[in-house]
Amino acid sequence: MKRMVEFKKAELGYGRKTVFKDLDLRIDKGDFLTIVGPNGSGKTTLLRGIMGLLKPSSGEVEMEGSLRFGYCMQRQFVPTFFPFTVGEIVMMARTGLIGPLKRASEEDREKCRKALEITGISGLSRERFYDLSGGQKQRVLIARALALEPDFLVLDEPTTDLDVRAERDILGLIKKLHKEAGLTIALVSHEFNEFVNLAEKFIFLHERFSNRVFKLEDLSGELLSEIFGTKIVFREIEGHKMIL
Amino acid sequence: MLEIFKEPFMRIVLVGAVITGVTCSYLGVFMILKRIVFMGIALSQAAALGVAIGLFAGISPVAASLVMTLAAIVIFWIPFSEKDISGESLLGFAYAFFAALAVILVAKNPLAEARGLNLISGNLLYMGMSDLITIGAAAAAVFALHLVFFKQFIFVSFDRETAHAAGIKANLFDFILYLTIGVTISLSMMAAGVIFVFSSLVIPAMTAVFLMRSVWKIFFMSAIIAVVGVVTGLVVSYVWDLPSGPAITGAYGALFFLLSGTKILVGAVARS
Repeated sequence: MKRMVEFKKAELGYGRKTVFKDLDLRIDKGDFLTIVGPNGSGKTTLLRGIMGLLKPSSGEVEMEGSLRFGYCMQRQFVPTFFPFTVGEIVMMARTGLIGPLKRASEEDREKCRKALEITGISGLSRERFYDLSGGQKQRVLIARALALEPDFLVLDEPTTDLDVRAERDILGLIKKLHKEAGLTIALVSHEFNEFVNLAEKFIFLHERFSNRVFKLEDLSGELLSEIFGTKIVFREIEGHKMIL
Repeated sequence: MLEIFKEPFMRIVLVGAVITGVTCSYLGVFMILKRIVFMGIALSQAAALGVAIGLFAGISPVAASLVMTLAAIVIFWIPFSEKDISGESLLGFAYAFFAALAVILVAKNPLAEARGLNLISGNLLYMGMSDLITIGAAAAAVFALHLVFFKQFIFVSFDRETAHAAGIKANLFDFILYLTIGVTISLSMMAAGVIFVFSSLVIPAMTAVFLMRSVWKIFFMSAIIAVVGVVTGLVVSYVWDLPSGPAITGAYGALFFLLSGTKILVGAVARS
């Protein structure tokens, strides 16, 4: 497997606070990594480290060439008091490629159209972002990430505060992007059940396990009980693994 | 009433105030989008302190104001960890500290006291040709930079983290944006005063954001409100012998209530 990002004994944190110490993590092309942990445990810190936005205070983070990261930040933090249209927001992803003083080319517009099509919101291009539902807004942010034609899709809590149907739709879209388009994905969530059947690698933000990368077959009820600090039954029901 | 602009000095005042108002109202849209409105008032006070230092120390007030504003920009631009000190409290501290220091320096210097009183309310009617040239050159430089990097400024202001992840040099563009705001404020301050500069940064942009449902129209409407507010305020100031800065701010406020009230009323009628 081709390596994309690799942490070698990396220390990550903000100011005086160290969130990860001696982190060893390798993400290969086509991987699906889920980072699970409670709010404030450092999930976004790790995502920022993966994208190279946060440099390690010690150790190394090696990146394969110049990777393009399509980032979907937490929907709740995107300003909604400005009347940007969906099309304008998706086109923002192409800003760096268009360059100063130039207007979007037909190719740029085509990439944006394709991203809107993949995410199923072609009809919303002229709608204003602040008029959309939570699920539609999440699709817009994913479309913006895709418009950059990323090597790596990074999602920060993409299903938080969504209703069940919108959550299912977003999970289906992420699954499609990984399985059919072969995108490498890293996402963070505090909901383990949502992504256990999608992801291939897991990091649990826990004082004893933060530095270990688990595969699906490594997971057991005993291990998850220790990680989450409560009795957990981990079962497979109708082909889907889940915490009961 | 517009006959007052037949006076040569009033034409200079009008052109200078319109350039300042339009530039500030344009930059104010970015300040609202970035949610850094209080940075505007803190930078205005830093510029005022620079003028006070200049007058106190007998050096060029414009140069001192520019240096103080640029120093403040660098401090505000540094991404402090919120756990060390929040950006909001830093702005609050800077505003109070700069304002107090400026008042002390003005009080202890007779020359500064005579000219310094205008730092807060401003008196555009004293604007000369050299002020106009300085303000005009600064505005031309600001708009030239924004013409080149408009898309980058919009992306970084709307969603800095995603812009950074997408390969945009977010820190650099943030700094350039702050720089254009700081230079505009410090060069406008001497002639226009804190109240006029700060209100021009906030009220036209805020009114336009409330009224318009298109980003382009927000920029356009913000500039129109600034022009109408400046002309109205100058006429009122001249006719009733009022300080020009507060008179223009009053005109901006009246336009906000008039336009937003009309929008609310029209919306209510349409719904009924």
